[in-house]
Amino acid sequence: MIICQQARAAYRQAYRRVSSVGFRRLLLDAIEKSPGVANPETYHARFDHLERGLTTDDVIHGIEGSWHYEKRPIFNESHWQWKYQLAAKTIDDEDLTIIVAVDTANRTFEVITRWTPKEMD
Amino acid sequence: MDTQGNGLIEHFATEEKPFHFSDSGLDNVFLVGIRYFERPDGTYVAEIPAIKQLLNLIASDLVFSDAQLRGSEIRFLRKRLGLKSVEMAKHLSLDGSTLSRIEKEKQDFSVQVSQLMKLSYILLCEDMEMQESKKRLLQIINDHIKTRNSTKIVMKVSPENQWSELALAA
Repeated sequence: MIICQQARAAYRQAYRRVSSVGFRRLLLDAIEKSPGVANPETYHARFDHLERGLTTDDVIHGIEGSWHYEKRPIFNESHWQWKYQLAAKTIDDEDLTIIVAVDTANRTFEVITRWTPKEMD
Repeated sequence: MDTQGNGLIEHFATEEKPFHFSDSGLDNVFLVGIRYFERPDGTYVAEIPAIKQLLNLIASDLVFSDAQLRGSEIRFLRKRLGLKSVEMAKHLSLDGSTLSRIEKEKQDFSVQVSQLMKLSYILLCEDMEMQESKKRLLQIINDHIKTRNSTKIVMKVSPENQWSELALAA
């Protein structure tokens, strides 16, 4: 039990939440990486949102723009990932929510969900 | 194909079995050489390096193709430029609702709109790869600009009814 708790604590330390500044840098690094550069911060996107009229460029625009946290980041213990929910804007200035799961230990992130609130109705 | 502990099935996109890059906004773009993962719920997660360079390359391919653009390709180029629909419509001398219908492929458009979109992309984009094309395009325009020494514009018609500009003395 103690070992388990220590392991859990060690994992939590490794998978600590990044600051908003660090998080923004992580996202921008992943987008801006040039070819040939070793890039652990690779853009991972879940593919199923085209029918909502959103494209990769809308997500990039949202990430590069002035987003703010829509909710406090939460730690998903089943996947050992921090999940950040961002309120951003599409290129056409529509509201866009981007959920990003970040593996801070491996510095990878995955854009797992994005939608415009009105489309959720 | 490789099944991982987290339930993801890893695939590698090959020429025989490429990855359909549907989130580009285009239905005919496929990627080779990337890893992608199939989730238990049937959705896919793709690992795409140098995403902006990839999108610029797709844009370049559209702009330098001799084929007329489709509505979805106009939308792709507009979004690559980061322009709102109404802003792009002004460059194309269209109103916003017309451009919206064109992008959704609910309205036909002329080859001139397609060509103007390609030229607008070359002139407005900040992609360094496109800078040489931009310079060449501006050079062609410059080569056709004559120095005007008079405020008058005088046109002369020939016996064959061909109009031409009459060169004026300074």
